Amino acid sequence: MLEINPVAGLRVKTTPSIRIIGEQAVTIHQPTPEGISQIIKYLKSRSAAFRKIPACELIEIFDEVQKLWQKGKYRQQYLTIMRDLVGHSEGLLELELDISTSFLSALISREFMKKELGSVESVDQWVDNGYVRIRRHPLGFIFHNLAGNASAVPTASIFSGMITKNVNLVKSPGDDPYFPALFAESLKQVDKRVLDGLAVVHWPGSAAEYYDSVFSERPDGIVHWGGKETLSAISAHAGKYGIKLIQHGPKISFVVVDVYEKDLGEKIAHDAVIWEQKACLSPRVVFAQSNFAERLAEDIFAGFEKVATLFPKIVTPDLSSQILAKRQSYMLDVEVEGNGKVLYNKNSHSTVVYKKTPVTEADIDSCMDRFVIVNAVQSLNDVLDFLANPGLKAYLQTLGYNGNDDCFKEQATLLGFSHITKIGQMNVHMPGYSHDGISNLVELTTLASDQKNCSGLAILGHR
Amino acid sequence: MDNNEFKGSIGIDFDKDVFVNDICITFENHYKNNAYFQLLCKKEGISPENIGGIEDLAKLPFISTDLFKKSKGYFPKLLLVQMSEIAAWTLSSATSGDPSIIGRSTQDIKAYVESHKLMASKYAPYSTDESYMFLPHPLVLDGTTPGEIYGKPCFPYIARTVESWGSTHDDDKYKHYLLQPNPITNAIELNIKPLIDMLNGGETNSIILIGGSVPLLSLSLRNIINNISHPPKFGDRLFVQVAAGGWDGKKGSINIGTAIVKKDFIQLLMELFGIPLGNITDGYGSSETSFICGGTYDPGVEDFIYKSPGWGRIIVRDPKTFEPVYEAGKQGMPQFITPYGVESFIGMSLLMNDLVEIVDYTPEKDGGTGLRFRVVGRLSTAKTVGCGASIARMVEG
Repeated sequence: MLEINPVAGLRVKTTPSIRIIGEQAVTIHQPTPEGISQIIKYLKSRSAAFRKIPACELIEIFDEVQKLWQKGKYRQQYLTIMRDLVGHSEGLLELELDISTSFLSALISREFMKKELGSVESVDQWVDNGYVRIRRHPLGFIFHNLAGNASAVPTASIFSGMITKNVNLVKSPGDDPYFPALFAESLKQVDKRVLDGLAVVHWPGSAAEYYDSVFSERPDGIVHWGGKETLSAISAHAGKYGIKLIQHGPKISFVVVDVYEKDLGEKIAHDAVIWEQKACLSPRVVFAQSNFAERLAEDIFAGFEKVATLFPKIVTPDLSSQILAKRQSYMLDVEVEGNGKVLYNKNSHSTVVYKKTPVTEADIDSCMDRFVIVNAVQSLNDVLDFLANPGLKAYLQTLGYNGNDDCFKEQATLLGFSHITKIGQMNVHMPGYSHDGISNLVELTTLASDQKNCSGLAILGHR
Repeated sequence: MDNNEFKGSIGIDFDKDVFVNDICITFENHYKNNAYFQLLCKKEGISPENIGGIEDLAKLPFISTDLFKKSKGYFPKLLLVQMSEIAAWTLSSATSGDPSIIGRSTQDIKAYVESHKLMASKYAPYSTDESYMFLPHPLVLDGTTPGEIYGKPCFPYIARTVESWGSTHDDDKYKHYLLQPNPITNAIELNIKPLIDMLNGGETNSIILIGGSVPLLSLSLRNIINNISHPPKFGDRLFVQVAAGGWDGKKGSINIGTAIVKKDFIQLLMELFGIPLGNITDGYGSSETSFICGGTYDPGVEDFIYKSPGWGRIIVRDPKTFEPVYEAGKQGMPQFITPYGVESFIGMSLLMNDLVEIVDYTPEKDGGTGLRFRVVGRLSTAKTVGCGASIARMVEG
């Protein structure tokens, strides 16, 4: 049976609990709430020592870890376990793992730091910035509350917290308590000093007493990924104690096709297959001009079938029955009424719905597990009208767009999208991109400035 | 009831030719009178010409029972007749809080009631002298549903089967419904005093039936043990018939907080009432289907083993590919097929949201009903979302 232990610099008492996740029986060794308090106290006590590790050394540690995950025991363990745990095919897991770790290479992580913080060195020392010298200080102790739908979440959250010299308590999610712990183990293997700044533990999301332990230690910041239920509870605590809350999710993403191209179908299918549409950046509804929407729907379905030869869909009986019910519902709702058609092959698990009538919120929620709705629109204004629904604004994230209308991009970002990409690249994050309208590295630091002598500068005046 | 008055209220299991002939007629009716069913058939490449023999049953398209859920709102579209022609909407007990709603004609209501009656009577005397049901009175059940839907009355599916189940006497002295409304609060409460009084009443020659909710019967056993002076030996005069799930401890609004271990439950019933194993039976079906499968307990498997009656067929479908499976030990979703009691809605071929396991299958046995299975569990309709949002839920607040 798979065993998951806390990864921390301090050994604390744990109790085992057995759970079935996906098709895997898992024993999770869970610290007590008191154990969590002890771990936090330990992290705080090691904060000064952790801050002394130069950023360049931390970058090297992550670079080493990235290499470690390219082949060898961690990759193999991940592929073996995660297949049963999250139900993705091995090929898809490999691709997702590469997405989750590639940005940790020294070359790319330096670029991220430069684009977001202005320089790598500002987290170590004062750096010149014209009239002032600037310094980026960590917030202090950060609590990360993770969601388990994408392995990029733990790597990104842990990297952001550590590279900014914060000390980090990471709560792994219920539907994947495994990968965050394994990733932390790999960091520890490269350099044990990481345990001065990182602990990864798991407890059930519903166990309020654990959150009490965390909040009684007054985190300096919370990074929250995922669902609304835990967000509400965490927001309430954060508000009560005045703790900075950096929230990612729940979010949704869309595709808009203003200009038809034959290969877009496969690209959309590719974007949708990664994370099986459970990530915030996964495409849900595809809005397309009505003169080619049906053709695009057929292209996407063909794209799904092609992508499935590389990354077959793994289904559980639960999921399979959900897919069947969804297909049959849409046949009743859309096809029988003459409002479009449902494209599927009974021997595969992908579904594309071509829908001529306006989409609803329920349609957005249906788009998961290789299920895409292509909505025919008369103009981009129809799309903007739909997106202007006040209920959606807080949840919009990535827009995959094919077209040449900068005005539309302007309006779409004004309505709430924080990131626009080319179709087929919705899962790629280049340095400098906006994640949910913010930069994590900036949010996890405070900016201090040391102004240079300005007595000779007449333009600034003196009041 | 029709289908020739449900084949003359079948005294015997009729042969497969009669069944297949009725399937063809019913299929044609479904195909012609429901646009959705026809679309489904066309997508699967099936038309009435393709259905002609028992081997063609596996070609029948199946409807997910999920479509009947109230929240989906599709139930009027699943009719084969005008809404004006249905007698009522029948509702499930809705463990999930989201009941299934099925429009049924008078004939279809009579047919499913008759089907239940016939099935139950295969395992125990359907009409007994006394009955103690872990259920509310049918009129109380009727009161639990909204008065009307689209101007048509509605009632719980189970209410009509409960009516004719148990004692032939309508007198409260013989027919006891142990779930009763509190006269002050109107809340439904369990009152097992009539059952305990009967058990303490000494020897009787009456034939007795105890039936209804598994969780409540299970919950009451400790109470019964504590309140009877010495366990009576009923032998062949007492029967326990439960039905419609609840082995996970949940049924309708009841949740006893723990799953029921069948082996212990059976052992306790046998010792407590002094009855043979064969007197304890279960039924497996749902409010969407027009027939149920009877089940007897197999100590070797430590589970109830179910089998369809002659007027229905079960095909087990692989839960991932939906292809039929027949080998013992294979698991899948059960497809309920029947031409009877489905003249008003598309209910001839339904795929249940359960996982069952084939115990054995003998194609030629019992007119083609030789498939025996056990129920593994219910499939989940919940979705994992992660950092992707479920918008409808959030917009609703």
